This record gives sequence, C-alpha cells and structure tokens, in this order.
Amino acid sequence: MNGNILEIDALRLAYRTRGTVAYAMNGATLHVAEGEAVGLVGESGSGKSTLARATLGLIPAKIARIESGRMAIGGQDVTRFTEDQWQAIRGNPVAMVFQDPLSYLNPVMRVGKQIAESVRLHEPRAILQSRVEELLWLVKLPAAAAEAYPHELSGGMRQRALLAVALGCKPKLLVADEPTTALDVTTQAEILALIRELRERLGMALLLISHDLGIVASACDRIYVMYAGHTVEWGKAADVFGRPAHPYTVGLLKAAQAARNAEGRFATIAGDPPNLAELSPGCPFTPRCPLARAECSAEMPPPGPARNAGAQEVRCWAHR
Amino acid sequence: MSDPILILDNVSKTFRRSGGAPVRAVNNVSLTVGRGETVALVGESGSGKSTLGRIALGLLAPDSGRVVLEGRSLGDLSPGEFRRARVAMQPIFQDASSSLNPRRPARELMTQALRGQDGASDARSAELLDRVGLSPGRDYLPRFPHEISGGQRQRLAVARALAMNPRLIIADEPLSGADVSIRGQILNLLLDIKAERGVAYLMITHDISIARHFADRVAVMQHGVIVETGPAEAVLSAPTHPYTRQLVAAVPVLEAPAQA
Amino acid sequence: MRRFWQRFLAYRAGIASGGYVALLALVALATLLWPGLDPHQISDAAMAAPSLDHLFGTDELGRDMLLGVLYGAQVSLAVGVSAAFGATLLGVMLGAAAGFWGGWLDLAVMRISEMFQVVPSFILAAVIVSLSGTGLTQVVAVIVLLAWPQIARITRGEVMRIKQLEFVDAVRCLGMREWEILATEVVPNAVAPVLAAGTLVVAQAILLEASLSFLGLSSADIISWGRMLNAGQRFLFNAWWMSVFPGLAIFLTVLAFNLLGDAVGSALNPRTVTR
Repeated sequence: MNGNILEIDALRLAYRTRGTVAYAMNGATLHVAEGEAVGLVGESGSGKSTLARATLGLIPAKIARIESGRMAIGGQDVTRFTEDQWQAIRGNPVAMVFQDPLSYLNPVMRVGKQIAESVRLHEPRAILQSRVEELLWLVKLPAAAAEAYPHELSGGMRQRALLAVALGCKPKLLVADEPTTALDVTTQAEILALIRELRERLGMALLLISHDLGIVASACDRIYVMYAGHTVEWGKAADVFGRPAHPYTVGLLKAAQAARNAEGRFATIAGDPPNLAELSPGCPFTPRCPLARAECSAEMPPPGPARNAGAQEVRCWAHR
Repeated sequence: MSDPILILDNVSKTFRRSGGAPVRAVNNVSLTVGRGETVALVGESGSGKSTLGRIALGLLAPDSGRVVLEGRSLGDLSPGEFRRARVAMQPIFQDASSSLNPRRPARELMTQALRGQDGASDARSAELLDRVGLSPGRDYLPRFPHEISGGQRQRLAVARALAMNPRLIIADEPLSGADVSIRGQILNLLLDIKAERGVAYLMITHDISIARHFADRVAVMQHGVIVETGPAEAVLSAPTHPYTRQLVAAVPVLEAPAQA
Repeated sequence: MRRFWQRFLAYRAGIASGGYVALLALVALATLLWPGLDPHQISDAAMAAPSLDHLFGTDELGRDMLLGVLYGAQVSLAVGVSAAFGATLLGVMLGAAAGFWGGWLDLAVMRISEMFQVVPSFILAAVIVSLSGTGLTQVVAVIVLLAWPQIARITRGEVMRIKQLEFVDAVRCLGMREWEILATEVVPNAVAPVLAAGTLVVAQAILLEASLSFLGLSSADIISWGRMLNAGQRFLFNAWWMSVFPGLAIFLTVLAFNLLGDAVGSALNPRTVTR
C-alpha cells in the first residue's frame, strides 16, 4: 500500500475563452494511494469534473492550460503529457466511468464486442471469449448482455457495461465521475455496492466524484472537499464528515441532511455558488462564510491541521 | 381535510407509442390535497409521478377519472372557465432555465402574470421579487433568466407563481437542479410562503429526505400506482409497503456530524 | 442582441454579403430619388462598347447600361424583398398553426405544401404568369405561392419543438389563451431559422423574377436585369456587355443573399461557436 497511484499537487488549470479566464482548478491537491478509495465532493462550478477529466488527459487542449503545479500517475509525471502519451496510459493504469454511459458506449456495436476491444488493447494474448465472460460475470450482467446493443439495456445495466469496458483494461485506478447521478436510488445502491465489491476483489484504487455527500461517505476511505477550484479540506471520511473543519464542509453537511432545526428551518449556505471567472485572491468562500475575517479576502490560507476537529487537513484561516 | 383544494379521483392515463406497447403511466390513482396541506409524491423515474403532476395541473387530460380543483371538476368546465379556474394552482418546475422564456427579462415575465390584476406595476413586480429574496427587486427587473444564477432563477419562477395568488403550488422536482448548499434557501422560502398565505403544496420528488422533512403527508408511487400513503414522518421512518422500504433503505445514510 | 452582432461579424462572408446588400439598397434608393436621371434616355451611340462615357456600354437603342443596371436593382430588390416578406408571413402563420395545433390542420397544411414542392416550380410560375398577366405584382404573388411551403415546414418543426418546453406550460398555467401563447411565446423563439430561410427566399425570388423576365414573361416597360439579359442575348456575339453586366448583377445579388441567409442563420444560432 505504499506509493500513490495519483498525485495532484497545487494544480492550476485555466480555461481561456474570448477574454474570460476561469480557473477550474486553482491550486487543487489530491492524492490517491494504491488500492485506496477516495471521494471528491463539490457542487457545480467547484472544478471537480475538470479534475476528473484531467486525470485522463481529457482536457480540451485548445482552451485549457495547466499553468502551474504537478500531476503524476503511477509515479510518472504527466503534467506536460502529449495526446499520444496520454493515449498510452488511458485504460491502464487509469480508467474512467461517466455519469451518462450511453454517450460513452458505441451505439452500433454489441456490448460484448466493446468489452472485447478494451481487453484486446491491453492484453493482446488474452483469450477474448473467456475474458469477456469473466468481466460480465464480475459486473453481474447476464452472459446474454454481450449480444445486446447499449440502447437495449436499462440505465443500471449500461453503467455495468461501461464498468466492464473499463475493467477490461485492468486499471489500477478507476475514476468514477457522478456514476450514479442519472440512476434511481435503488439502482444507485446496487451500482455502489458493485463498485465496492469490485474494488475489494481486484485491489484497485477508486476516485469517486459526486455532489452527493451520502454516496461518497458510504463508498470512500478518504474525502476531499472541493470549492471554487480549491481542495479546501481532506482527510479520513470519519473525520471530514464526522467532525468537519472547514465552514463550507460544515454548511454543506447540514444542508445535505435536509433536516429542519429547532425553529423548523432548513439548513442552508447563504449566497450563490462561486463564478470561476470572477475570483479574488483570497479564499473564494469568504462572501458566504459565517466565520469570515479580514485576512480571508486577502490571501488563500495554506493547508494545515484542523483545530478542534479530526485529523484532517484544512485550508481555512479560522484554523491557523 | 374537510374541504380539499385538489382531488384526483380514480385518474388513469395510458400513453400509446407508435410501434411500442401502450404504457399505463397512471393507473386508477386517487389523491387528495387539503387546503394549506403539503403533500409529497415520491417515486422513481417512470413511476408516473410527473404524469400525475401534469394531469393535476390540467396540462394533460386523463383518459378516465376526474380532477377536482376547489370543488369544481376541471373536465366539466368550458375552455374559458377552465382558464380562469386553473390559475388557482401554479407550477414550479425542475429547471427554471427552461420554465422561464429565455427571451423575456424578469420585468416581462412578472407582467405576464400580473396582467389583468389590480395594481399591476413595476412596483408590484419588484415587491414580489423582494419577497422571494431577489432584493432589491427593482434591480432584477431588467435581467434575463440566463443572466442570473440557478438559485435566483428558481426564486424568479416562485415569484411569478406567487403573482397569481395561488392556493395550490404543484412543484415537480423543484430542487433537482439546485446545488445542495442552496436547496435550503428554496425550501425555507416555500415554508415562509406557506406560513404567510396558507398555500397548499403538492411536491413531486425522488428525494426521500426532502419529502420526509418538508411534507405533512406522503404518497409513494410505483409503476403508475400509489402503493403507500400516510403522514410523511411515519411512512418514511417506518414504511410498511416493501417498495417503500426498499426505497428508504437505498438512500445512502449521512450521519449527522458532531458539532465542533 | 450584442451576441448576435459578435457572431454575425465573426462570419466574414456575412460582413461582405451584408455590405453588398446594403450598398444595393442604397443604389436602389438613390436611383429612386435622384432627379434628372432617366435610364430610358437614348444617346446617339447605340451598342457602344464600354468606355469612359458609358462605363458598361450602351444597348441597341443607345441607353446607358450602367444606369440600367443601377435602376434594375430597384426591381430586383422590390420583388425579392416583398416576395420573401409575403412568403415568410404566410409560411409562418400556416406552419405555426399546423405545428401548434396538429391534427387535421397540420395534415392539411402539410399536404398542400407538399403539392407545391413536388410541382416543378419554374414551370408552374411560367404558366401562372402567362395566364394572369405580366405585372410585377403577379410575379411577386407567384413567388409567394411557391416559397411559403419551405418557410411553413421550418416554422412547423420549430414550433413543435418549442411547444413542448416547460415555459409554454408555465404561461398556460397563468391562464394565457392558446393563440396568444403561440403568437407571443412560441413563434418569437422560432424566428432564427425562419429568418435565415426568409433571406434565402429573397435570392430565389430575384432569380425567378430574372428568369421570367429573361423569357419575356414580364412587362416590357420595366427595367429589370432579367429583361436586359433577354434583350442582350440577341446581340451576345457583337455586344457582350449587354449580357455580362446584368448577368453579373444577378449572380452577385443572388450569391449575396444566399451568404447572408447562412450568416443570419449561424449568427442567430446560440450553439455556433465563434473563433
């Protein structure tokens, strides 16, 4: 378990479109150890999906640029990788599943063939037929699903098929970007259980990205909380969700409970989610923060241990 | 409950697709919303809950059964009577970016609703915008829906519904498009409106925890049929129907953090 | 609206064609208002080649070709724009009603529009004009009759898409009448592709007018490019300028309106990415 499969350090990534610059990642830091399950939570505009796509080199090179920081996969620095270099590591060691499997499966190719393709790319000498059967069995799809086209499957089955394609590459790290958001709760529970089981069986690391705190809490060992391109708090799930330190995490957790307080009010965070194109040098949460003080709007605090909380790291002046 | 605002009486709707088998989206459903009551209609996609919502709003005619709004069966009204009667209920949709005409600024969107009412003016529009937390309301009048944030758009949609002085608001997944951190803002606003005006809500949602904490009563729908109904807290903390149990069990639990 | 202009200007052919059309309109207006210029005035040099006196040469009666071509812009623009306006108005009304209410109305409008689309339009136009007389009004009416189906089909498709959007249901719940929903909520959201198609009709109309005139199916006392071509063909080998300049004017104008239609279409389409 020593060694990190994924290391992202102080990564700044800007989208430039016609005069506007948006920092989707503004010093994000995230590590995933081999075999570890890491959750990344954030709301719209937090940059979490950009981070997910960056781990597979899927950032549009024309408008996006990594301005500083570093990213390494399996110990190899990939910060300045070219498209050809990315092509060589996509699937193995890193594979990805998405929110909407239908747009990532080929609509005119049978599911079994698509799984076979991904196996063939990474294990040229494998006996395809038996590997495909094994993968279908792993994701708990009936063998007959190999003969189906993607549109003939239900939403949950499609996500299983996409998982089988990803697993066909034997990844060491599976990046799952909102894998259950489009699914019903009962199907969602099945897919989450499947991902947990696969991880244990195959010893693969997981980076699970979601806006839903409950999902991440149930599936991950460690949690990163992202806000406006920054990772603002990270640590063991029990610490981050059990004894949250950053005022944003505190507010988000209360809001996610959807429970009412003594006055019968729902918990909420004042104000609106940040606009990534209009950020000040300070902590982006300042305008919405109940603990904001003078230094908050001047400078983003460095990471450090949380006070009066768990053993997590937090970027907040209230904890310095 | 003696004088319900909305009665859905044995309502059914079947969709016929060309080349496919007919789908019974809603199958003999009866549901009542009392005056000032909040009812949550819970179910997964394909359960027929949105179809039932559209039938209640009079946007879709049921194949059989009646929709009774404030004692009057919508099916028996003339088109003119129906138009005047239906304004007593107003919809709030999932995504305000599609439920507000993108070509109209807030001023026009509000005027459309206030038209024909006494005291319709920019001042009245601004007052309503203030009421939903878009303050100062006057500053929001020239803005187009795409120029404000998602949460603000949903508030604008609420303000427009309020302009009609509705007695019933039918909200179809009004929070699905909103970020977790601002969901509470919208829910609190809906609570305040209820406290001030005594409106009733029919909230259609897939989110068990919102149904549980927001509604007085809940109806659980599966495959076009209501399988369980009762007080929200009781049904969702101790469900009796196997499907409700399965639904409640599937929600990932987030334990309340210890207060720092 | 600002986004519209940004996208429009980013489309280079849009600027060029827009500029050309604006210039043409200016020319047409100038010839209309300028006192003392008479394109029918006959000089003593008949069929003179282009020279400094007559830049485009003169025709068989000694009339100045340049003045003729400039005056021709009046007819082409008037016919093109009014025909496109009429076709768009008719097409939008019928297409919108068909798309919004569906049912037998939709069936009827679509079958009729198909009838017009399968008949070879030029032959139909020639037949109608030769039966009903050769005034400009007839030409415009014929073009309206032939061009509305394409506008109607585009409008119908857009209306069918837009009427399913939630904001339509939202205003319905405000108690708005159906025809009012159609006119004030649905149709304004359908203008973009309709406007683009309407601009293309201008080009078609100009071409059709020129073709009819070329065949002599227009009244002889009207100065139009088609008419000039008709006159010029008899002298094609000894007075090329009598055909080339009006022909060039038709070619450029039709091209400009086609490009303009494309530019308007992509400028009004919010999904168009400008670089």
